[in-house]
Amino acid sequence: MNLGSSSLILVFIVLCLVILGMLTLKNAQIDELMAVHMAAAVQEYYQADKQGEKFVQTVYQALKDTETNNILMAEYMQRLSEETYQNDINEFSSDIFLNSGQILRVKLCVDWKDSEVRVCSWRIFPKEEPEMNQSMGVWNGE
Amino acid sequence: MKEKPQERYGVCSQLFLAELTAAIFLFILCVSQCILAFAVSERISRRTRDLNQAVVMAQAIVEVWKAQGEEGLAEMLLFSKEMQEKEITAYWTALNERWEPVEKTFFDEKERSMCHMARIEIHRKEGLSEAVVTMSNGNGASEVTYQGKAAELLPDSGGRVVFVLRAGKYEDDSELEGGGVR
Repeated sequence: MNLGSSSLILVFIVLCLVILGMLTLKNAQIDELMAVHMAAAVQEYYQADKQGEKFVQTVYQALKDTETNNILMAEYMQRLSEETYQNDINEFSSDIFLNSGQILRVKLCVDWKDSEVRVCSWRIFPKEEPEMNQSMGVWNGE
Repeated sequence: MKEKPQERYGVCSQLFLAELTAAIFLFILCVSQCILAFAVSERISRRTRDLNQAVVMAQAIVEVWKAQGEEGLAEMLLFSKEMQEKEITAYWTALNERWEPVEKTFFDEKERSMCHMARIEIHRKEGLSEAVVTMSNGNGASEVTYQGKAAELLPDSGGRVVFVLRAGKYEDDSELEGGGVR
């Protein structure tokens, strides 16, 4: 009865310690991976944000050029970038694509009378709408 | 001839002692490896915490700069000017162990004992300013800095850079009367 009991206890304790150690290590590695992804996402967002600021500069420069050279602003904008489009005569938008499948949409409103450019919208959208799984019937309260 | 009970008892106790010794030896071996795993996990967790806090602080610095300019950096985040050239201006601030800005009078002039440092370098070119925010460990920090793909190693950083963030801002010159960007 005495022989083998210490081995059994040893096996049990070692098993617990090994599992605990491996879980802790795996958890730390996953946390690190998540922190790395978050840092990369922040860097990517600000890269897109910089592109948005360049678009603001472009529109503002176009406004100044339009005043001085009487070039139609819409034609000027279309010549500059394929991602630029005009919603109406006073509104210009640009979509900046992120690697994570999102789009930064910058919408600028131009006041021709006061020669002002105003940022109307600066938002992140998902590139594709996620497909909702409707296969399981969910109780709606009725 | 039958074994005497005392002899049999002696043999059993020797076996038990041998098994116990082997068990203790194996236990010590396994525990040492587990402690090593825990220590590595703790180191990874500390680096992750540093990276997360550096990212959040870098974002705060960029947003303050975009909203309030260089005056905002000095007022809200205790930045001071490091150098100014024709198109480049650099500011820096000291951070405590929680990556919060602190008065530089707490540290000596040679930056030996500060925990962390934040530096922003602003490049101005044709109305578009670009800021490069560098979050790094101080000279006195003994921890190895995380050097994953989110961090960039500056040539003279000595491996202390934690995170680098680049951002841009358009600053109109408002030459048009009543015009500009809002």
